Amino acid sequence: MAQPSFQNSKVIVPKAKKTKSWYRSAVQVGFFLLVALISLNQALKETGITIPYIGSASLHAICPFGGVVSIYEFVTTGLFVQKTHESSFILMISAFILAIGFGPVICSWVCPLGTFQEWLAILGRRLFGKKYNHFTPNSIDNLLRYLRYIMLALVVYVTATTTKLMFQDIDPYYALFNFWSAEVALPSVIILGTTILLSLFIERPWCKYACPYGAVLGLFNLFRIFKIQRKSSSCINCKACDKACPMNIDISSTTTVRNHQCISCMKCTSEHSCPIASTVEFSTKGEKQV
Amino acid sequence: MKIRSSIMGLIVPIVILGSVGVTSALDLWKTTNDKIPVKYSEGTATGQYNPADIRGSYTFGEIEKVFGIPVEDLGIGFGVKDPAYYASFQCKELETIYATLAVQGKEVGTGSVRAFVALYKGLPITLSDETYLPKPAVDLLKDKASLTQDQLQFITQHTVDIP
Repeated sequence: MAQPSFQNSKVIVPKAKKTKSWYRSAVQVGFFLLVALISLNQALKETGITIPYIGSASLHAICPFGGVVSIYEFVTTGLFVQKTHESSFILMISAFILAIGFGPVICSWVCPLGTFQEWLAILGRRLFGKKYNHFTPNSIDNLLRYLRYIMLALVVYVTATTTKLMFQDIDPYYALFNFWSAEVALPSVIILGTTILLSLFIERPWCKYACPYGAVLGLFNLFRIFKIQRKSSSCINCKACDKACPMNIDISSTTTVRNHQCISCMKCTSEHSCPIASTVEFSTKGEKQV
Repeated sequence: MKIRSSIMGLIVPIVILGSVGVTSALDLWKTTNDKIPVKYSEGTATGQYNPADIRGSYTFGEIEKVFGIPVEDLGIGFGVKDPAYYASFQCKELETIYATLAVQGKEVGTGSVRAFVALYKGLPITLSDETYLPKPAVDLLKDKASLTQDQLQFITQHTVDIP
């Protein structure tokens, strides 16, 4: 691992690394394929054809957000909201356990819509180079980041009062994996199209500005056990961490990232982007404040 | 203590898939409804099946079995054209038949079946203003169910014709 070195009183700054996390990519591809195959199996069920060893659950049954929107109904009546089942609750609990430990890893390691947006980001970066993901003025961007909490409140309120899974009608994730189905509502297709288009300019636009589930998981960043920690004592202030962050978090100005938008992708760490060893890490303990 | 991507790449799938595996082994993992509605746990109907738990995947045949409402009443009431399909007709299919009304904000779907079943059997239910019933279902309820004045007023005001 590189360390800053001194030759003839000149500081030689190591170049920022750009190491791809193959582990994360592999997990993302695995979950994307799993969800795609489950969705395909569900569609094929009526024809009598099934893909072996893959379940044929509906997408609602394997979405942890279904558990979140069902909490009120379950607590007050003991019933699940339309189209959600015990499986949604179990996945919700697993996601919360992961979030308590590591933050919103569901967003960066599991969510197939997040993965899909990341793939589009590759194209966006090719088109716009360094300008990619930096088109939105900060003042507007900062405000837009809170939209997802409004979306969360709206979805939870409407679901609680109607007991219907209203989110399905605006859910781009559902549209992505069921675009062939008559069950997909037009607004969700429009939102998916908009997300695809915006992903060519902004990384993870749905996650940043609209995802209600990301809003829930983002709150865990305030108290999660493992956090992104930056050692200011060894930091050379090259801002490689800031540049690597898909969520545009200003990592270089903090020692512990508690930003509600961090998705724990670990791209900023010394393992991937930071050129100095053990400077940006995903760890329990940060630098001791003097 | 710090964590590297390689470890994270193991933890995430293990927790997610592990929870599925463990709960499957404990018979808690359910991705479909077992077609047995929950029962009322309080009030006058305690111990009886709760129509509010009827799902879109329920067929009229399954509702007949659980609630004792003849499939003919359900089929005729909700405008299913072919009597041969009464028993296998799924509640969620109503959304297709009544799609034109949904645009006007008048929904005939699984919620309507829940309301119909509850009123038919005299079971407690919270009636939603967005829920409508087809005219034959309303006529059946007026004929066969013991409705309160409020319920009668509700179904009269929430009647739609079969498209």
